[in-house]
Amino acid sequence: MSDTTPQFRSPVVATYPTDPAAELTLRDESAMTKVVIRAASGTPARASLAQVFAGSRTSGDVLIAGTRPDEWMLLGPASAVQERLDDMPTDGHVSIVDWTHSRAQFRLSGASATSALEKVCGLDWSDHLMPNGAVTSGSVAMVTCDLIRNDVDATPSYLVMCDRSFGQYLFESLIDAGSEFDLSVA
Amino acid sequence: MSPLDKIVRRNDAPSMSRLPRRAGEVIDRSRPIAFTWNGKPTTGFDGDTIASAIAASGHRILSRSMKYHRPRGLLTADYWDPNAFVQVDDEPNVRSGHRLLTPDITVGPQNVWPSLDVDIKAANQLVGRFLAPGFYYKTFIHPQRLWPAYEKVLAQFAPGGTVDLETPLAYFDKRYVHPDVVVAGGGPAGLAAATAAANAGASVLLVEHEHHLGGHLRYGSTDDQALANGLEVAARAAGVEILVDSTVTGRYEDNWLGIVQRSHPIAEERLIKARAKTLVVAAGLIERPYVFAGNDRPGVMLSGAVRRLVNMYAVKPGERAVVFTANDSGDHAVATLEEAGVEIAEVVDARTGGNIVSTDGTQRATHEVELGDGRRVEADLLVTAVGWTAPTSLLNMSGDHPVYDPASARFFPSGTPDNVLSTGGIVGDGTTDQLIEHGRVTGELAAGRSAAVRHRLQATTARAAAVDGPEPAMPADDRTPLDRHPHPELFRSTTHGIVDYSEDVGSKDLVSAATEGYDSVELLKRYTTATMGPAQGKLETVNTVAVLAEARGETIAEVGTTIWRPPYAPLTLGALAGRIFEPERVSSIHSWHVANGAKPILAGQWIRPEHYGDPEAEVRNVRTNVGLIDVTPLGKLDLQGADVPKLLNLLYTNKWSKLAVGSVRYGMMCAEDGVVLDDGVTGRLEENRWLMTTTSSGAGTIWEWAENWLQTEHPDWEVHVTPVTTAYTSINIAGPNARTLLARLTDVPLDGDDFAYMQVRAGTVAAVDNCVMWRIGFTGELSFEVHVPAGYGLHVWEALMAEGTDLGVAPFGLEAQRIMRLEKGHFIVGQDTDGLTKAPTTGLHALIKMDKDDFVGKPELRWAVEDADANPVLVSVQMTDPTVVPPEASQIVRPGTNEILGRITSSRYSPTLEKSIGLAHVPPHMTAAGTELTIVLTNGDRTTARVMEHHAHYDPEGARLRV
Amino acid sequence: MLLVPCPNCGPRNQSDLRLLGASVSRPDPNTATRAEWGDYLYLRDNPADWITESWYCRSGCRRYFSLERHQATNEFRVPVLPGNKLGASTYTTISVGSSGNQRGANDEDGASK
Repeated sequence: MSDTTPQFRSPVVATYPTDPAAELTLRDESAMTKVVIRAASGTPARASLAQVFAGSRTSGDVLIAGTRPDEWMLLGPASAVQERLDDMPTDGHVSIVDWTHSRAQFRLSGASATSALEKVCGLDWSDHLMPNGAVTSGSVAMVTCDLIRNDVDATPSYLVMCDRSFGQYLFESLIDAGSEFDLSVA
Repeated sequence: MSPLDKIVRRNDAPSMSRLPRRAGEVIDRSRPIAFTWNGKPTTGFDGDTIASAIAASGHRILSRSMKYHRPRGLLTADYWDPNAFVQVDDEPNVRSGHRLLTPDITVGPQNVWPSLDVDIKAANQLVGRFLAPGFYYKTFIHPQRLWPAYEKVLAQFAPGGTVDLETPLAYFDKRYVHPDVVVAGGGPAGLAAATAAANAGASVLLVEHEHHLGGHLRYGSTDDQALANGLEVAARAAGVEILVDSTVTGRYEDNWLGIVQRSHPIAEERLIKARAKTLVVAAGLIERPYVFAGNDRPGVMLSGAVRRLVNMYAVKPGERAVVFTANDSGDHAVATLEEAGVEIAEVVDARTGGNIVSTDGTQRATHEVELGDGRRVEADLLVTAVGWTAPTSLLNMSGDHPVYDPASARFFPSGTPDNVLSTGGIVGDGTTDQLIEHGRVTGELAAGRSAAVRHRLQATTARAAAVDGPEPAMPADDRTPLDRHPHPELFRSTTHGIVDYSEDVGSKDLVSAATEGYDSVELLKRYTTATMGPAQGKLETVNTVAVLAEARGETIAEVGTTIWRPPYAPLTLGALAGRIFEPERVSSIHSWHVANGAKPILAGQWIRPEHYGDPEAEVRNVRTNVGLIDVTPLGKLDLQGADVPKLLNLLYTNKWSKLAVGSVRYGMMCAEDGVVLDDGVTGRLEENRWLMTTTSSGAGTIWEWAENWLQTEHPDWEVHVTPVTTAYTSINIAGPNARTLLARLTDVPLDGDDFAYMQVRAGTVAAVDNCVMWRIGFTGELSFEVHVPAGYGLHVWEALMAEGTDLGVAPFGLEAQRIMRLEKGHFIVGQDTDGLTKAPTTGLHALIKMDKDDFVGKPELRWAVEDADANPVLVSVQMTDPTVVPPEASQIVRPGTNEILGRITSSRYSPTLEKSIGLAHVPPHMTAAGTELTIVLTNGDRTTARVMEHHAHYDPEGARLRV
Repeated sequence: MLLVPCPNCGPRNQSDLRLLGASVSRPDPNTATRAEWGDYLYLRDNPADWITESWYCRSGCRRYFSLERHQATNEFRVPVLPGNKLGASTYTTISVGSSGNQRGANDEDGASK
């Protein structure tokens, strides 16, 4: 038996100079625990999640997002997500899948984040259609992504999540889109 | 010396020059710019267009015409000038009337040979009567064998500049925007509309085609220019986003707009895709040339051109002018020329019956103008102001059908949808104040309508912020329309001249085409190419229609006009193409593959190792030791719920209800037409939890297909389908040593009794929890497919490589896998099946369970079995000559004939058997073992092959899988 | 680029969805004749009029639903149907827990946004 400790690797394998203090930053958060929950109509899990489609809220350390009409995502530290799952009744037709390894997750933050996203995505990112907390999905640089607006200290911030295999490509695409606005990797 | 000689000498000297400083000039005289024109060092100023700088240097001739190679000078001195196309460095077809001068560029004429001054092809005009419409079609058609020769000759005559194939790649950008209001056109009405809309709370994007805002005010009087400046200041103060040197190129459904932004700071060009809630079209008017003999002679210009040259660029356009005017613009041109010190020889007023008939002079200069009353006036400049074309392109694209109004001698819009408004000269006439007021009211209306649209959008969009109150009513259009001023109808004089300058089509050509029967405007256009050149009808459409109307003896309204389609102005392929999104997918092991010499192959969007140097060696290693292949792209779906067996029974042709927990099964899927859609292995991990695999290319399709059946046909079934393709890194460990290798890294019992062929286990591999393993065998060897949580995929791969050194472990790629599966006779969906292959063709009849109540494609499969004689059968074949591997898709024919009976679907040299093997589609009567097939090779030679008894060439009993 | 009124997401660019064509009913696979099955697979009316067609919101909510569209004008209207279901047709149904073109229609659990 091998006794090497497994090392989690992000889909972003290239390395970049970083500047976390930059006005516009892109952070690789792929290691964050991500759990997808599907719950049919009438299940108590829905009432427990208490989050409608296309919105999100923070509950403790966990971000609860209504990603589809019958689908939710829990994002956060592994232990906090597990605690939240333990609190959720699973009676009826409910399924839980750990998507931590399935999805790349990036956070784009800064006043010009919207302008950068406008270069790779055809969605309307204006405040009235994409307010803080809004959840949607759409094509970003031709990759279907889950998208959550999750402002940090009143600065626009967006979570962009895609299939892990596209992670390196999408990270590069976001860097390219943000270069006009002096994006730095954080 | 005759009088003519005197004129020739005087007029052939440079007669254009830079004027003293003008109040509203847009050039910066403190910043001279050196460049090369036609091989000579030349100087202009910052702010000059290339054409204005050339003109200011005294050069009259900019180009030669497309067909007859006649020398041409400035006509409109703006973007639409048909005579001002030049080559700038490596860039052909630059519109020098628009492109700004930049330092050190080399500008040259195009469409000249050998030079601008001496052009051999100008002989074309001597034979002009042979170059009538359709000349090329009619002349160069027989005999067909000479077409290649014709092509070579005609290519010499093709117009345009020179493309440099070594031109470095450039960066083009893309952007999506969703403004409330887009205003197309930054003249007085457009600026007023944008400002009013922004002040009413709308987000506004204003797009101006030219470099300067203000429209016609920009080349008007100093008062006009001051007014333009004030309007621009107000628009900026109101927060309007302004793009100059940009064009709204098209309007599509629901106000989806294409906008090309030329000269962006970070990119050559940027294509903006805008979804506007309201579009305001304020495109203004484009001045129309007049058709008469000699109307393309250098020295003939439109009134807008001389006003631009004098007032914006301080260029004196000539010495002695005749002005033919029918409107204010012509009258202003007279005043402007006088200010510039140009002698006004004669003002011919069309409103009081004046006319001009022709110009006379050399090919390179105008010397004389013949007036309608028979007088001949000496002049080197003829300015015409005969009316306007309404550039209604964007309105056409919105469904409008402009209507001709003979009283005003131009087309007007007749009606557009609620979300498209128009203002300014395109809808009527008036004083500048009246145009501005109309723009202002239009802007307020646009803002009001956008607010209603935005309210509805916000109320119906799930993710949107909450919206207060009821939806505001869509404001009605109660604007007071602009007047229409009378204008004489002036299209063609009593003589014939050029109608389409860029295509060299004259009014005589149009008349003769109409006589030939091409008398519908759409036919005439295509036959003569009038309106089909770079000006795209902006200058010549109305004249074309007018000449046709005259030829038909009808009115312009009766003849109608062509419909303007996108783009409004040409845009580069770079703008359309860039930025290109080409997503690529890689597995967690990709970096290892790269570091270890894998030859990449693109499979769909996936970049995969085709091999690591020698695929045949990789095959031999798997057959004797153990190999690893990265099969991450294999589609994987997590299925949960009590009704999963019902779903599997529906999607697969075989049965699933009795599959035990811990087992996997192979299945085949067909579409409703019975054609094989996908195949793969699905395992039951727990009572109500399954893992389905699909082909790599079918991963997305099968997921959406399963959802479709669940959502639409069986919404009562309790099944959740969750894609987990890249949640796992999938590694297939294959070969006689596979068990020994895997056992070193897991506690899961792997012996045949504990973990049998076609079983699935979950457990820890190389200290990674939650791995799924199943025992299957596409390669035909003992093999375990391990699905590892993807973040640890590389860790497990490296552990397997490290632990297996003494067992001969080596990676293998797709090619080795393809050879081994062919040795085993496994078909690949899409390779050995096609869009017509129904399930029975594969020979897997045992997997088609007609006693199930329902499954996708069931009736078609019933009929396919009934019609078995009509469908091909997949068989394994071995070539008689082991050194000949027929290419895939080689035809199987009836011996001695070319009658096609079937085809080779896969073929490879088998290093294991040292034979040439394959799979083939053959007719049902040719499936018996030993049947000889005749195969046509690509070089026409024929070879033979023999049908085999089993699909598997290698280990048909499957003993190696079950050890 | 049409704006398609997804009953769940709201208006979305046409490129975010996939059009599956006019909605059809699936015949009984055990009794259908070859002619009936052929109609189901291949034959569609193409009137210059309103038709009911099926869409899949592939980049958005991933739900299959039907809309009425006028083929001459490209206007949409969203059918309001009892039980969110258009009968036993292959592609047609309104998605789980949602109907109509109003946001929050799936808010059956009283959750707040």
